[in-house]
Amino acid sequence: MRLPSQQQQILLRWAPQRIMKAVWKKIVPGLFIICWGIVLSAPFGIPGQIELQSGIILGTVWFWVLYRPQVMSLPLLFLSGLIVELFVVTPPGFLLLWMLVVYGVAQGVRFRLAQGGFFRSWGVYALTVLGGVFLEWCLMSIQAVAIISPFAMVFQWVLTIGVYPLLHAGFAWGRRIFDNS
Amino acid sequence: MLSIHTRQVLAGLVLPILIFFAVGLAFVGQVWPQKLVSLRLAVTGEMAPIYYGLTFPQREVRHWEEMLHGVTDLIAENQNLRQQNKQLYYWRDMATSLKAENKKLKSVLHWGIDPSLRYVSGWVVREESGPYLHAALLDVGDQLSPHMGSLAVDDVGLIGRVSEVGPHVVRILLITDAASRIPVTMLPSGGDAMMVGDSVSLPHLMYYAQDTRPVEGARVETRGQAGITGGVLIGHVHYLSSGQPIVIPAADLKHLDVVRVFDNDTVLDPPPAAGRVREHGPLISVPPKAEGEPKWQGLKRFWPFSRIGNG
Repeated sequence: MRLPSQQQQILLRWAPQRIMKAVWKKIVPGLFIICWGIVLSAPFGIPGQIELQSGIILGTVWFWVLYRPQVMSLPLLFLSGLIVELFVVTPPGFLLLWMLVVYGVAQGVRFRLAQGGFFRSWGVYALTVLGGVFLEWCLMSIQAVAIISPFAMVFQWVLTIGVYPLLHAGFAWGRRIFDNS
Repeated sequence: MLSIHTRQVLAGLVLPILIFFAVGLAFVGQVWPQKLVSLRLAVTGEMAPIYYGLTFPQREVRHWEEMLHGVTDLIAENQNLRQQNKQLYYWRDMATSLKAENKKLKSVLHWGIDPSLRYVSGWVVREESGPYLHAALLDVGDQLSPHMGSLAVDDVGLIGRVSEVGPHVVRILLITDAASRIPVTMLPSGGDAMMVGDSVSLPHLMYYAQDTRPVEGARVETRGQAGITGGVLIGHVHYLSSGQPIVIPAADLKHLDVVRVFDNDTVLDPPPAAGRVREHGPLISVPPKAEGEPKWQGLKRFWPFSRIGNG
């Protein structure tokens, strides 16, 4: 049986490590967004790379706000969005705006969707993303002063909602590791 | 210290404020896109080393893939190389052949002539060498046929004279033929003689003056007179035995290929040395006095090719 003073010493000894771990947990989604934003801006020449960049970022925001909102704080989201804006080719500010919209929608329906299954949350995410890609398509058409082919919009939408199940599975696995650590 | 209610109200305001900022950023990006685009470009420029590092595995994988692809395609590549090698051999042979042909044509070109004078060139299509005939058939194509008795030269010297003229082919009677009679001049003595072929060996020298006997090694040229151009190198004097001077031809009569035939009145300026292209115009000699064509001119075919005169 340890004495209270001994327990206090142990706590003090491990305090920096615990703080670092807590901070690390708080910034992991933000770091994930920034890293993928940078990696997918590299010239790999992968087909659909740009669309995949947006899809991963939005899917990350959706998952963590829906299932673990405390690790995806709004300031962190805004900061990571600002940084990622430097590496994307979408109209300036648009991805950041749509990250905030996804954040808002996920916050609003979090309690209802958290109780439902995966497909329900995926469906709502698909509708949210549809609004985003449609708005981006409108902006690009206005900028080009012509109606751009809607195929680009459909491709981006399908890719964004198509990559989400993979992200969901990966993040669910990561969340268990977080919880156990 | 803020109350819980105030904090909740403020927390609820953060998202709209940030959305407002994001909308403002999007608006600025639409209205003044240059600065934001420049900022993105600058960041991309700074990120170049990181991008290089990120794409390094991809480049390496591609490199390995190309290597593996090359290894698997080795047989096909080998086959392709063999085919190309074959083609290259063909082109090399073609180039060698063209080079040799070009050299021959150039060697003929070193005869200086007046461009206004007529001449034809052609390839020897057949050599008619037998016990009684030493001639060559020259393919002149659609070129204007030369006259009878015209001089034929290779790249060095005289080979003979035109004995028959056809629509596309002319026969050159070589200087070694028994019917060949060519007036010559020996240098430096300047003595004249008649070079006579005998179809057996090299042409002999006959009818020379006793005071200007052929000297061993003397240069032999055609004698300028009516119907024949003077000064064309034939060869050199050589004595097979005492009192039997022959002419060793400068031209290679055994290997005739490209031959040029100058028309009767053509004035040739012989080359200073074989293989040299003449850079200045030829010396034009005084043409022979015009005289009426005798009626028996047609007999020239059976007659010695020219007659000796003072022309």
